This record gives sequence, C-alpha cells and structure tokens, in this order.
Amino acid sequence: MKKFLIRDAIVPSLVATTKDGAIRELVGTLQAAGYFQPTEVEAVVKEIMRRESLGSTGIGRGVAIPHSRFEGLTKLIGTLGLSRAGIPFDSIDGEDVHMVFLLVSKPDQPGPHLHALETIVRVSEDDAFISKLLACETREEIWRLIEDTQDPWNRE
Amino acid sequence: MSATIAMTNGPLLGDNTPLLATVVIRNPRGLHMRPAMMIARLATKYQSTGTLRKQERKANLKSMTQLMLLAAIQGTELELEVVGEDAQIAMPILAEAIAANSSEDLELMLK
Repeated sequence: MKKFLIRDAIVPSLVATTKDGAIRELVGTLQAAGYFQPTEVEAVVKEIMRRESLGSTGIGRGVAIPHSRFEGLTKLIGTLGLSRAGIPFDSIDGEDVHMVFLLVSKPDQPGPHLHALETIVRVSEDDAFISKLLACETREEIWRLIEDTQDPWNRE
Repeated sequence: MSATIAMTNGPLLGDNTPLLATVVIRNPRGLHMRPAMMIARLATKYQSTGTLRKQERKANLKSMTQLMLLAAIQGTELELEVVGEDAQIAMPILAEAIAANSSEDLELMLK
C-alpha cells in the first residue's frame, strides 16, 4: 500500500459525514499534497461521484474504495481517510463506512489499479489489520501500519 | 476408481458433474470492481456454484471481493467451474459475462 498511498494526504479523522463530503475532503488532501492543481479538484470529485452513481464502492466491513481515472497523473495515487462517526455509503452490506481508500489512476494503467483494489480487499478481510487501523489516531500511526503491511503481490 | 465416481455423479442422482471452461478476460481494464460486482450479481441468479481459478487462487463467482482478489488483467486465462442443478444453463451465460468486453456489455446481460 505504501507504493500508492500518499502519506501526506492521509486523514486520521475525516470531518465530513457524507459520501460526497468525504470524497471531496480526500481529493482536497491529495491536491494539498501537490498531486492536483486547485482547478482540477472539482473535475476529479465529479468523476469519482459519477462512478459512485453506477454502483457504490462500499465493499463491506466498513471499507469503501471510491475511485476514478484522471489524465495527467504520472502514476496511480491514493489516500485513506478514517471516519470515527461512520459515513452512509450504500455499501453492499448496508453498514456505514469507517475507512475510505480513495484511488485515482492513470487511464492507461489498469494493472496497478487492479493491484491496488486487490490489496485493499485483502487488508479489509484481515480482522487484525482492521482493528489496528481503526485504533490509529494520527497520520504517523497509520503510516507506520501501512509500512508494516506487505503488499500481496510481494508475498508471492 | 472412475467407475464409483461415475456412478455417484451419474444422471440418476441429478447431474452434478462440474462443467469446466477456460475463459479469457477481454475487458481492456481487466476484472475491476464494476465487472466483479456485475458478475457476482449475475451469478447470484443461479443456484449453481461457480468458481473461477487463476493458478492457485480461486474465487466464488457470487462474491465481488473474491473476484477482485484475482486481479485479472486483460488476456488472463481463467478456469471456470460451474456445479449445480442449473449448471447447463448458467455456464454459457457466466462464461460470457466473465469474458465481456466492457461493463456496459455486462449491464445489458443483467437486464
């Protein structure tokens, strides 16, 4: 995960309490970390919300993976926001979302996107990882956990 | 050995012989979240159990997240196994869904 999650864009406690708000907040932190121009934020948010309208990316177990493609990136990037309160996300299990992994990929690179999805699904099925993640209170704690978590394709 | 198996799997007991097929991912974006979700939704319409294998990894077709764990890019060859009462009907449809060129094609299949 450390290959695609942007450390400086991680949000240990989302202010937003809605899907739209959380997506906006996370795209904003990627912009603040230098990955988008301020003028591009709206387009990225809109594209992610368009994807959500085709079917929620809430995969259950409190995890959502909102995503889109965006021209102009040099590689796939992502960030993670934790919500203490929980966010209604129309997830497949109907539960609120507490962990939002937001991905923005290069349009011509489906491989890294599939690997990122696989990685997030895998950690979301790991009870130990989930409880450790939810116990994190700072960006540094989250980053340390991410650094300690092997990506699945490195294990093979 | 095969005689015993052939009897227990025989037509008299209802045909539970697994149907097998090799399916190639054609979607240029691979088996990403949206096709995985639609394949799972389609598979849920059948009583039969579908299993998709990529080398040592396997996914239950009715599970979106298991399908996503395959991380199958375009051109990946997968082994599809369908077992159950309606396997004969489900097999060609599920195979076509997995090999769909796009999410839009899959959406048409769900209608």
